[in-house]
Amino acid sequence: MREIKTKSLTLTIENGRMEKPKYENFHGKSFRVLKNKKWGFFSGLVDDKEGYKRAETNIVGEGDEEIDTTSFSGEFNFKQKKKLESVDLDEKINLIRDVERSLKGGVVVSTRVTYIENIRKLYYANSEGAELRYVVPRTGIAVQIVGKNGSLQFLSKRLFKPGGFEVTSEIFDVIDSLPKTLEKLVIAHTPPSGRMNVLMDHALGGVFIHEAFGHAVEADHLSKGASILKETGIRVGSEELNVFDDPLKEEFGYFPFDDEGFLAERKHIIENGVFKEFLHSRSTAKKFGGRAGNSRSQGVMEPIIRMSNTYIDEGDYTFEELLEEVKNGVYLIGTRGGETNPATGYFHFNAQYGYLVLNGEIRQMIRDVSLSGHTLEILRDMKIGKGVKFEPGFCGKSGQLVPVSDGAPPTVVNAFVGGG
Amino acid sequence: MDSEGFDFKIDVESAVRYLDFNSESWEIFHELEIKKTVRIEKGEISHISENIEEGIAFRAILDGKVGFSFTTDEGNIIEACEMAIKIAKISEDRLKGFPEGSRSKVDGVYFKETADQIFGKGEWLIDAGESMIEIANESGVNLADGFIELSITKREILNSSGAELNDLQTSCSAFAECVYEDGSAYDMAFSRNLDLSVERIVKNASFFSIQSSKGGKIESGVYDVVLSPLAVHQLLYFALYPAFSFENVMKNRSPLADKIGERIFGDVTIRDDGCVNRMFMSSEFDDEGLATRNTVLVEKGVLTNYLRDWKSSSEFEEEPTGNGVRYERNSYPSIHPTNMLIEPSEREYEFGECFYINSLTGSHTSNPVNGDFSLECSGIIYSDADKPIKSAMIYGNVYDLLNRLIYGGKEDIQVENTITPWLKFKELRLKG
Repeated sequence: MREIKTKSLTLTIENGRMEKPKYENFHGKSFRVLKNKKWGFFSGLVDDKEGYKRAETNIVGEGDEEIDTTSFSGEFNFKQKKKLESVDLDEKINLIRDVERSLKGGVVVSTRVTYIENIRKLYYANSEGAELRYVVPRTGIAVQIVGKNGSLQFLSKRLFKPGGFEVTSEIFDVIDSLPKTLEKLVIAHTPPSGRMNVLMDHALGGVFIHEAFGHAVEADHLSKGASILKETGIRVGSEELNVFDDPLKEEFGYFPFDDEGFLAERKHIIENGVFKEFLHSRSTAKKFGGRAGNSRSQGVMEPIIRMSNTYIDEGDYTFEELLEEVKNGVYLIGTRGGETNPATGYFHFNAQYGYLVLNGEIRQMIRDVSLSGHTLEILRDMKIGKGVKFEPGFCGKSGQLVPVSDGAPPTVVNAFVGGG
Repeated sequence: MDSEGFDFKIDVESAVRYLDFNSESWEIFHELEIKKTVRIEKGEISHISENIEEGIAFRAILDGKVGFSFTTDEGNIIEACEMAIKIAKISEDRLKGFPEGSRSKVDGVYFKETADQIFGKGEWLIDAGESMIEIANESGVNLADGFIELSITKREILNSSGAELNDLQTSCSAFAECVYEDGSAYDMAFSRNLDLSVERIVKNASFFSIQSSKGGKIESGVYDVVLSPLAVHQLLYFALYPAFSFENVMKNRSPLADKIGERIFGDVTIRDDGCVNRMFMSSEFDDEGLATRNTVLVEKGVLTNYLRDWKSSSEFEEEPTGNGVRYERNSYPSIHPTNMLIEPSEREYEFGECFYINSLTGSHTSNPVNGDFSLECSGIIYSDADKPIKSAMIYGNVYDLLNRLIYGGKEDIQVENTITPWLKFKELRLKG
């Protein structure tokens, strides 16, 4: 049984005006019953006895489901250095007004700055005697600017992390170069197309590892027979490739235990180029042998296997060496999101913008550029740079959004580039 | 509980009194929904999942500015009202009161047979799920992931202008992802009643998963292409529909600003019609209590109108179009399409020699402010099953694409907001 209470505040300044400010107070419960080796699920704000009964009535027939029943108890409160409730509304508004002012001018025709705070309180109990509680606050600012000079273009940036109001202190560093970049982007060239060498910045590299590889690592796809990855122990990349999923890292995908009450742990997904482990629920961990702890849900919806903070660890290449590796190709920056099919391994995502690379030198800017290819082909020859940075986001799967972050150092791959 | 006893648990009387006393104008949006879903994994029925949620969204206006709050908890009703007022005090979002409420006449948004399945044991859900599995098995593919979801929703809108509206709606949707060797494809279906075409989607997903498993490479070049209703929806929903929003037009986020009366693409008519009987997104009134209607947006390629909610219509003294939609019940209403009908001027039974594309990957990455897209195609074959293709990219601009529309098929299919036949386009760029 899970009981979830969230309080959240969203403040948006759009073109100088506070638009659609919003407060939300959510309270819900969900119940799962495993009987005859089959699950039944119910969510609703009812008393526990009724909740269990209704979950039980949703069991269909008999099955072969078994789970890892390891149980944990405890209480976790993520510390806020500057408590959200101690900062008055005016200070929050003034901050985003200042952020918006710093974005205006030049080709910018529209600005939107959004402040979010969310406090999630979770209580978890099960029939093995486990009782867990946590309080995790998440705070951040998202920025989008639209520019016009010939073409209409937009750029966006987010700073979301677990924690209190202190999270927002880095915002001016994060958005510093945005207006200048937009000025160039509205007159940027259309990209070349075809297979070529691509230098991905940390944001695009992070989305790549999340979308193109990470989803195939979620063992529910394996369970359904719909993942390109069928087994661990296979080589998927070079010796220097290491990929982790770490819910304990204090980035946006942080959680102390998952929505099945399983303690969070760092998972070494690819170790020195070898695929080492899937991400598991209690059920798939039992079925395939592995560590549970990656079941998450939006609100009180059914927990499903999800990533947390997923990243490529740093390698040895300097930025200049990576440019030399590209030689003639493109350098792509930022992301407008992406999508993958874990069953086939084909992925697609868009960069926010990029540059042509000629003879190892960065040249003119390009716009509306996308990247696609086959995960396993592309990972094989990835060159890995230094310095991992994370980008926060919300990952959608089966109609549920959960906070995640993706990280990477700069990397070079050979993939299809398109657009324009 | 049965369909007779399906009613709100939370009493909003105390909120009405509080908001009457403490605000200039107010609105209460009250919604109760039950969803019952049968889930299928790897050719077997996994389980049934049931969700009930009752939520109340408040909008309160002070000094002409609006604040918003939402709660699911009866014990927090007055706190939520207080927060809506506190938020209104810092808001600069101007709103001229709320509409008096109006409704159009729409049949077929509530079906008792659907409701009975939700309140009963869901035998139909299990039977329909088993028939999906059977069809996939007959085709020799793995129905890796699938679901059929039934829902019943009760809506009530009250406001200080005297609106008192309520309705009941049922809906049904299904999803099927089939995997065959290393090929995969999916499809989905939407209806108000149990006449959901689960057979069509499993057959379609089976066919494309088998074809894509034996696909070859495509030569990059310019080809005639037929897009499925699913692919049309995926593309237009992200690359085109936001441009019709009057809010986006006024905020410089739409390439269609100042283009009323101009030809924006080829000979196709696009209209948003929220009051067609039985359609998936139809209702008698929108989520602000305004009657839905038929709005012709593009007539034979010429832009004729935009979509408006209460705020954008009252601010610019334009007629509302009944498109104030709460994408989620905990969100402000905003401009969103209802049923977008894509009507090519010509229709044919056959498409001839060309590429068929079943779905597009990554369509949410399209650029809504200029219509550019560059997407991976999933499920692509050349003239039926002759030459399946493993993967290809399609790229261009959505306005240019609609300039290249030659004709559509005979049958209209609804995919969420879009009602369209398969559409044939000439000379699109595909890349291998």
